[in-house]
Amino acid sequence: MLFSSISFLYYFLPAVLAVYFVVPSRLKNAVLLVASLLFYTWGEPRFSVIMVTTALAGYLAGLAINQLKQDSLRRLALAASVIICLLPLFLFKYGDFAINNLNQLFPAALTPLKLALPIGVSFYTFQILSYVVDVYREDLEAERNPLYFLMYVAFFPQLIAGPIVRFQTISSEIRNRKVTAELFASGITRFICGLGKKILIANTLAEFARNLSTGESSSVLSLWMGSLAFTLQIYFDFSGYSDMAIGLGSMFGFHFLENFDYPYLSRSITDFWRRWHMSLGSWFRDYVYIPLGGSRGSVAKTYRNLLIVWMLTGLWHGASWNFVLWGLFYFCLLALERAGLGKLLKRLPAVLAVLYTFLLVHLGFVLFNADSLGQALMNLKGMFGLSGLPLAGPMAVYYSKSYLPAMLMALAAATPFPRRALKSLAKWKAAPISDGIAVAGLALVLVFSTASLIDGSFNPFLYFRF
Amino acid sequence: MKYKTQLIIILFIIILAAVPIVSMASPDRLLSEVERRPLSQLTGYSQYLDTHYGAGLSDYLAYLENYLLDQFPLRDELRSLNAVGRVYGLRQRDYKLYYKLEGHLAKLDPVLRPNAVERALALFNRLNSDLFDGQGKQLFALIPDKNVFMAEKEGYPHYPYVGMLDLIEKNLGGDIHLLSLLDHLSLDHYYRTDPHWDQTSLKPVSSHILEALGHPDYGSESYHVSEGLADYFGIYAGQAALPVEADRLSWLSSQRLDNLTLYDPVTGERTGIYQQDKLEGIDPYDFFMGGAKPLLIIGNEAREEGRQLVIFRDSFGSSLIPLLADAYREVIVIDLRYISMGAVSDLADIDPGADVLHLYSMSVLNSPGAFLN
Repeated sequence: MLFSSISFLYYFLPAVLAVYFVVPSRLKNAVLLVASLLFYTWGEPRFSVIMVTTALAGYLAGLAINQLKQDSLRRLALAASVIICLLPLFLFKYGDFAINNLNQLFPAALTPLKLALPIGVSFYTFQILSYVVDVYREDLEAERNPLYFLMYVAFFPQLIAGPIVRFQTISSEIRNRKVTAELFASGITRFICGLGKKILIANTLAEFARNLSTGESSSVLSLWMGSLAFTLQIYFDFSGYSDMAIGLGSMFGFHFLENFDYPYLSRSITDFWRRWHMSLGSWFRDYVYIPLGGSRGSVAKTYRNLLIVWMLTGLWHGASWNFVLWGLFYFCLLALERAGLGKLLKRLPAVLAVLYTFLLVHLGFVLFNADSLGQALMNLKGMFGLSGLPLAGPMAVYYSKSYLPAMLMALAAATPFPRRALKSLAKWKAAPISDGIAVAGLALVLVFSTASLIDGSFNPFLYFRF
Repeated sequence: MKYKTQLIIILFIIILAAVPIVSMASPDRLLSEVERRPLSQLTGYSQYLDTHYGAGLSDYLAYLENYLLDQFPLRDELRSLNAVGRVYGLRQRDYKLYYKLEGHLAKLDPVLRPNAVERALALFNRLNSDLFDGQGKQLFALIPDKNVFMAEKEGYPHYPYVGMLDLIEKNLGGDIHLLSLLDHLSLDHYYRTDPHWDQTSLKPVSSHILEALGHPDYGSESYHVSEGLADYFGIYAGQAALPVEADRLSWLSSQRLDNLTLYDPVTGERTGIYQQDKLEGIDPYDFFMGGAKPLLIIGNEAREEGRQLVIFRDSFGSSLIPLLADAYREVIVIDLRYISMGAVSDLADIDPGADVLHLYSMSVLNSPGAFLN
């Protein structure tokens, strides 16, 4: 089930909220667990078993690690649980990638599995892994209640597209939480803002990119505008989903950590990765980079560790060489910034530093969005006029004009300025007026988002493929 | 609790609760008059499995989502709100390829697809050489779509009428004469809310075609313009969902037109060329010759000694063909989008010496795979 669907918005969510607030406190977690399992089963009936089994493996591993006293046995239990948790991810996500590459080396050695990817497998696997490692590190006590643990893994707001929530973040709230009116209202606000980002902005940009790619043969302009639209789309798509998840969490009394912090205003690539998909970045930092030694060893080892982290980050996003190359692209940029470029960037005017970062992120998303490595390279060559494409075709000009206001609106919405403007309004006008404007704005976003869904507009979720 | 907090919670609860309550309380709509399609109806899981071979739970859940979308309260109004938001709010030049200019709605068809046109013409050439002996006149008339009169004015992309005409000329068999209708039409000859032309303004077009077919005397008949249907919203109005003024669907009548008979060999039904009952139906344009029909035969007792005319056409033909029929004993009307030529031969007697008219709009010719043969 998608958050941006009629079944979720007007049937599932009201029903879950109604039951949740009617039942006594001791049953609230049970309500959320049943709702979460139903939510996942709605979209993926076949794969619910895999999700529950992986969660059960993580739960048992936590208990075992907690019980064992001998370090070698604890390590063995950790290794076994990591392998068991990663198995479905490898099988479903990377199986065919490995087979296809092996077949390149040894022709027709193995038949591809052609398995569908269970939705959210990359997210819930990483959540379970973080829990098991944290228990091993004795950063937290193993959870003894299997239903609480299953709820942590399967909790529907963050189950299928993050943010990657650590057990520590919500463990106390699983046991004891309070939904105040303020928290509930802030959850509604956040959820509707996320819905608007997804449906009104990301989907419109997706339509623009699709129109450019299907309208005529490529031109330099169509490639630039298409990739720019995608760069903005993926931000609003994913951060919109994170906003919805955080908002839903608040409605049920949970406080999830932020996942985005205006990444397109970053002044360096290093800064960008502190602001983009923060829960994934911190996961790789805490569970891969630091265990490998981080930057504590020699310079060579630090770069080796960075290389491993960024190759894995690339692979996490997709089982394809262009994702690996995308990861390597970021490794190179981060290595350059670490080697001295970062200091230079700090001396640049902010506008230039932001433009530098945005341009490189934009080019990175060309790699990211391509179906294959060949297509990615072809698009990049085309963008820089190296493949003989015309500068612009009539359709590219037409659609660029047509979607210009939407693009400008998206660019503005990717900055904190609209929010600051609302705050200034609140200071300038009497509170009831500015509050009224804010509430009316929210209602309009909800109504227009619903209208867009009803009209059957283009509605894919990019991060569902990860 | 703050005023704003209260307001947000109350509004959210009202909106979220109202939709399922209203939806469950109101009966399901069978069809959408605006979109001109049947709406999805609620079916139980087991019944769904019985009627959808090989389907599973995820298919059923996808169907349920579609059902909820179809039966959503105020569906038509919300679709309209969305279109208005895109076109007037976000200033998109078109929405889902529809655009509005000078009160008219049109659908973008920006790229000429030579392969589609060439394939269609190869079919027409083959039919002409297989079925006809060349004794009769053979004509190809290309109907301009509304984009020809609208697109260029405001920089909407569109291929030129002349460009398609040139392509047709290059690929048309030697015996078929190509006829441009451009000089006899303007935007005012079309409905505002529909792709089709308005029959009441087609006399210059019918006279031009009849003259090319060798019947210059038959184009001068005077007609009476009916009152017609005052609030006609054509197919673009529903699909574009943009606010637009209604059209009037009127028609031409005369004693001669009233005497024409229409026979549908597929159903065996015999009617007049105009079908009043269709004015109440989902598409009032079906008033003209019953709408989309694979094969029709128009009989004209007043011209018992006349010739036969075979017309290969699309939906534009429905309103024009009655104005051509008076010059002929019999008109065989074939829509190759719905019937193959083999099936036509079984149902109608085609005279190899008949006059032949290919009457097609640009959009149909430019659609890959539009024809069955």
